[in-house]
Amino acid sequence: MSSEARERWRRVDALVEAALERPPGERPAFLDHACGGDAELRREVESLLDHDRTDDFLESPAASEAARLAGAGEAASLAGLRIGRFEVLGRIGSGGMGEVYEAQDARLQRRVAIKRLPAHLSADADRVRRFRQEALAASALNHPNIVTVHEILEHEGSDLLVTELVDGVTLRERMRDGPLPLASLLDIGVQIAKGLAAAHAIGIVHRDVKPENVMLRSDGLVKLLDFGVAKATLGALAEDDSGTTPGSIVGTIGYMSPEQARGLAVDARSDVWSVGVILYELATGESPFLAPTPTDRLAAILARDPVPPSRRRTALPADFDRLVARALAKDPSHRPADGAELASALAAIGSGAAALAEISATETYVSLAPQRRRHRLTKRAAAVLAAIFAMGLAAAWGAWRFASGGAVDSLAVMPFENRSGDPDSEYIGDGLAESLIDQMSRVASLRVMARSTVFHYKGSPDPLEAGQRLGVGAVLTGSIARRSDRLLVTAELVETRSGLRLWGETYDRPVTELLSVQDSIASGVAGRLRPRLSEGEKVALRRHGTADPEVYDLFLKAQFWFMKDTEEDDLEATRLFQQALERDPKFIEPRLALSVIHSRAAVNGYAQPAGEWAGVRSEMDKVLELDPGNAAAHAQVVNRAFLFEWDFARAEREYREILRNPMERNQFATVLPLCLFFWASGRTDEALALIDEVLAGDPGHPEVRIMQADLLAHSGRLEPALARYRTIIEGDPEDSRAWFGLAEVKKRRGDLAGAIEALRKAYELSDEAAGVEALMAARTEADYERAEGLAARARLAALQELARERYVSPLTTARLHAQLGEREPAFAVLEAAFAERSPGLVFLKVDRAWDRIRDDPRFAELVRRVGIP
Amino acid sequence: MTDLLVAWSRGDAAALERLAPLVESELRLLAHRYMRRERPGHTLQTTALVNEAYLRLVGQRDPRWQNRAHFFGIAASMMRRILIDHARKVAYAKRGGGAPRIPLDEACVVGEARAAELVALDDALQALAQVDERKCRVVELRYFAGLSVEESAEVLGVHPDTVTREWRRAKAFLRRELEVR
Repeated sequence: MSSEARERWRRVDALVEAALERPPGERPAFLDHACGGDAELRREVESLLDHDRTDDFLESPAASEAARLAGAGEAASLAGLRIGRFEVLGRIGSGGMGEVYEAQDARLQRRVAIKRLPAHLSADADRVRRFRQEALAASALNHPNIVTVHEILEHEGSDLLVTELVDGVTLRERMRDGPLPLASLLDIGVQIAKGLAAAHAIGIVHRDVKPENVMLRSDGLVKLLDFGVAKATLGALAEDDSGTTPGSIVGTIGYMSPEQARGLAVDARSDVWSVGVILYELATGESPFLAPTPTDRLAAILARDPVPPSRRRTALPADFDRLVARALAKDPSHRPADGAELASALAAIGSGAAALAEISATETYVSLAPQRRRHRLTKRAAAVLAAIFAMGLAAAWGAWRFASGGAVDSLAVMPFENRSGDPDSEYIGDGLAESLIDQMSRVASLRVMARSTVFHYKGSPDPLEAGQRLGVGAVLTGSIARRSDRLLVTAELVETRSGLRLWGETYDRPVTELLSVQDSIASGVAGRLRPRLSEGEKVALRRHGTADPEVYDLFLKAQFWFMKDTEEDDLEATRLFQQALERDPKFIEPRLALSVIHSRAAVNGYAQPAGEWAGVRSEMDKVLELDPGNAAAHAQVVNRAFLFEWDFARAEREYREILRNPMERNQFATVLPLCLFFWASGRTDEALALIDEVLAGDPGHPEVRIMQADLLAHSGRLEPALARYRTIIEGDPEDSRAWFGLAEVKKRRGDLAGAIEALRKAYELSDEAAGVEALMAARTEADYERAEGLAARARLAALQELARERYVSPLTTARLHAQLGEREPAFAVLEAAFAERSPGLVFLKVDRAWDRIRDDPRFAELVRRVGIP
Repeated sequence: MTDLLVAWSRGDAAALERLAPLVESELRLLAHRYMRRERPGHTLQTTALVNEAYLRLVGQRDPRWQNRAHFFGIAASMMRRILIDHARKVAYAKRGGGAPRIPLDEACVVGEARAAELVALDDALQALAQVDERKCRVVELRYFAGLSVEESAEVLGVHPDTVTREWRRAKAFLRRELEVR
């Protein structure tokens, strides 16, 4: 186009602009003047003015269509193509390192895997060359534990890696099923180490050993993937993305050695470190350097010595602890020198463990009941009492049915999906959802599902289906992506019935503005569902515990540990809550949480009750000073009266007083203790009636459903109890409490085979090898009871072992003696429990664990001394 | 990546050539991931998508907002091209140009009538670009990338009011072109 045309257009456009600024009536006169005698110019301007209309022309962007096409194109990219002699069949996986396809090699008539590396990795010719050399060199070793690379192709600018097709799953997938038995994890470790040894022998370092890069074939053979890929990728990170900024190291930070994290040169010993991390995770199910953010995790890798694996799972030999500690030595010179040395050290443990297992398979595990589970055992001992303290405060806002018309009157806030590609930012998405649940619950006419209910559906591919199951009118879903100091948050409110999007927003803000994002989501959703909020509700919606974004971040991190609900995690949570309080002493939520941590410790038997209840009291005094009407604090004070002071009359009076406020009836944390109170007093029907009320509002609440089933079973209503346990198990087949309950009910109904099966499952889930073992050949009721006895014996042995190094609740010990029918030790330890006022004593009258010693006059005397009505 | 953006913004056409495939592959990958998470019929959060692509490729290290703006500009043209290429394929098939290879998961996005509409719009847009580059970019940002007036203003480095006025006149031009055709 000529410059004349452009010049002409500029004049036309300027005139159109000027004319549009004038009211239509004045335009002809303006144009008369402005165009002079240029009739063609005027025609041009007028025709454009004629086409200026306000309608929806181009107003709904095609962006969504374009994005959809872009995505579809991606999906279809290689499948169905013929590249060289390879016929690409379908995609079998994808991840940060590219997508993987299955393909047929037409010439050699075999199946292969084709991996396409991300395009941006192929941009640097030098890097590509290095990567090819390494990949081929490692593959040329032809080692059974290394995946063979057949060739490397180029296709439309990206590199394709053609490798042998491994029929199996990645170690990551295998790990989702929980920790592995010692023998198989040692076997996997040895095979990884052997593969690495071969590579190390010719001077090749893998650099990115992680569970995603380890394939397990169905015949048990382990194959290492992706030699050389790491060099390409990590190199890319260092150059394209400031590799020295911890926040920007993507992905495999968890397996990185300290020297790697520092950006120093790495050698074989860096791979040894990574295998150490993997072994630790396989054994315990947790990362040795677990931390809520990448920065914290990095700090842990550089500075923190991990807890020995046997502290998390006691069934691990000391040799294993020592080897893992060596592999994870900060100083590379203290580690096994390479894969070969690691392999032989692992094999040595393997043969030792095998020998030990041969001598006494049961005993080895009996005395070594896993530590994480031992809390569950104690919890089980304290029966459902623990449940309410396990729930945490953010979950406390439950549901109450309010009569309302056709409008949406109930809401499930799903955990925000973490799209950072970094599991350590998970706490932000969870915390945001928790805080929103809390905030939205203040709208009286809105029924908001409790945290523990919705988090059950975390990661569910279809939030609407979750919404339907929960019977809510609308679902709020969203995502967060954190990139160093910025946060990208999306939120979407969808009507369950129609799938219609009611509201949605995207925020791109500095991390420090998370609070305001949360506010704006809350008011956006509330505004859409409840256009007319009362003034009180509006104020409540804006109410925050703290105005300081850094304190809030500390709080969210603390919450992350708090929700995990184990003794060790509570320690970390306490530290962070206290840090938040140091900076903002008027922030109430951390105090409430600290008081829950104290009461949990008392109820779960982590520490002497007196000290913990004193902690509850001092935190609650401060909260009530700041906010005299705080119902959660009142409830905690009453819990103390019930479980520590054993003042039953006052407890009942004050629980009822609190529940007089209809808003408080929403709160599990206040309703459930009264249920427990009724149960302890033998008033099962009243407890069940309260539970019915709670479940009518929020049918998904797992803790409450367990309690309901337990109560039904306890009061002899076996059929409904059976049905309830089954429903719970359908929802979460891993809940050992439900399996124990189911076993008990089936046994009482005379279904012995079913009972044995259920009990075996329960022991499996709670890692009680003695119980599982004893049930192997069980047929009769006597077998069943013998297994129970052996399991109790094993628990008792583990507990006594534990008592040498730490506090163990005498109530738990007494309970096991009672179950074994050992009267004298039972009563002796019960005296100790009485002396320290163990919370579980309030359940003496109803807890079936005491049945075998109940007829003893000393028992009736004890019930009287506790003062149970 | 950042260097390429800077080079390109200084007028280095070769930089764009190297930049475009990177941006495109990232956009396609992310779009694919987003889609797997979205329900059919929902609006894809395209701004979020482009943002994420930017963060992944450039990261936060670079504080110069201009780079982000340039990136959005590239992404917008990219999305226009992806959509229009597809529409032309569909339209070509309709006119009897033989069976093009349109993968099934693409085929359901744009119907024949919509494809014809998009092809006509693109022709009109090309005519606009001949005389007025900036209006064409406004349309790309607003229509093909789905940016708001404020976001487009940031990308173009102009006042939002300017975007509003340019957008209005660009639409008048396009509407007239489409009627003539």
